[in-house]
Amino acid sequence: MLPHLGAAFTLARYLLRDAADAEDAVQEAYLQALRHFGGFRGENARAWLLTIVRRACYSWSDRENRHDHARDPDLVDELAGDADDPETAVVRGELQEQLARAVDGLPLPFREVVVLREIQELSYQEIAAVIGAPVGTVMSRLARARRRLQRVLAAQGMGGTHGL
Amino acid sequence: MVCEHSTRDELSGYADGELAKERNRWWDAHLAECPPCREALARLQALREQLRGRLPPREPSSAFRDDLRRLIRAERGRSGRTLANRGVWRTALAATLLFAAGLGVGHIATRGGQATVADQVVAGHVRSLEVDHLVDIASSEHHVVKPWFAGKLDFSPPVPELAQEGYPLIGGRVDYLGGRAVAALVYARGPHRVNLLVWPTASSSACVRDPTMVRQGFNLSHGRAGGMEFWAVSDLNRGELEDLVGRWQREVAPEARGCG
Repeated sequence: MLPHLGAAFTLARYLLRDAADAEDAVQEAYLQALRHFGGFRGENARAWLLTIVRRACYSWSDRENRHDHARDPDLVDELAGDADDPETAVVRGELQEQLARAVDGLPLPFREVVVLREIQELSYQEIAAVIGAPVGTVMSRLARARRRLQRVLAAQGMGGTHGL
Repeated sequence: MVCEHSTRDELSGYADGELAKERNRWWDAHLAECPPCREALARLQALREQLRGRLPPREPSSAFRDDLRRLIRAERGRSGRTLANRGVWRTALAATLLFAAGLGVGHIATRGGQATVADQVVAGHVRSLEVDHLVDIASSEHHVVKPWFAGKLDFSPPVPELAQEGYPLIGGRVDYLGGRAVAALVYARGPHRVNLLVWPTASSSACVRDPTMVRQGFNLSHGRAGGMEFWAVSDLNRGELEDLVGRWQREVAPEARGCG
């Protein structure tokens, strides 16, 4: 049995934006979880595992020297996102794909809070624990991430209350 | 009509129901009388709905699922085994070290100690086949397998490719022997699999090989080469196992005494 594999893979896939890299990072994370912590435990095993997955993703992207645009969320606002994943476009609906692309285009510090909030549905408190930042930072990153997403989606004619 | 509050981060927290009570009440009151903020909130909620309903979770492939399951099962088995055998190992290792110190050689255990190690090597070999956990890194190329061990072991094992000699490399994994992590290299000969356990030894880099042993129907070869100590175990016949080990030693330490 693999607890929370779907959640773990989803996070890794959005953080690294590459399926093969995500597999490596998730595998690394599960082995670390086993070796260093004796398995999956704690009152919130999912958030705990996601913390390890996130760390594995960061060290994976460091090792691969595939740095995200920048790690400092105060700098990344100016940088444009770029992510395309044509092979999955045909599999999923176009709308879904557009959304996923918009999220993929976010800089890492924003991308991770969006995935943790909107897909994993973690509380601010849990997200704060996973990314090792204060709750206030979680709120402001989410707010900024949403403003960026609204901008991007509006430019594609599907922002705000329109185009739904 | 605009409102300075409509772009505040707190509105996002309000939409998530994550504000402290007091701030939440403030926003309730403010939103009741501020159309721009109500509109901003509606846009946030629409975005949330869009993402929640449609942002696709990414599914791991079933092949990856299977691989990971196998890996974890093996990892669990391994850590359990390490714990269970720790006492036995400590005794065997102590006997080995005492005897080695007395003789001034680094690798040859007492008869009893070596028998224990041989049994453990066989048990490990059987288990690696049983639980379908032969390799953690599957590759026939040494430049893939060798770097894989970096960070998992405190040494870099030699990983010669012997495909030309008829023993293709299958891959590698980390195993435990005598309480220490060792490199397990896996070679193939037809349907037979050979586990070659390797770790560094302080003694000279000359090639040494003990007479091949038989345990539970498996052939075992123990020796050293190029500053490494090794155990090789397989259901391969004695002649071929000795041939493989000899070639492996020559690849590892081509210049050293006794290796040629």
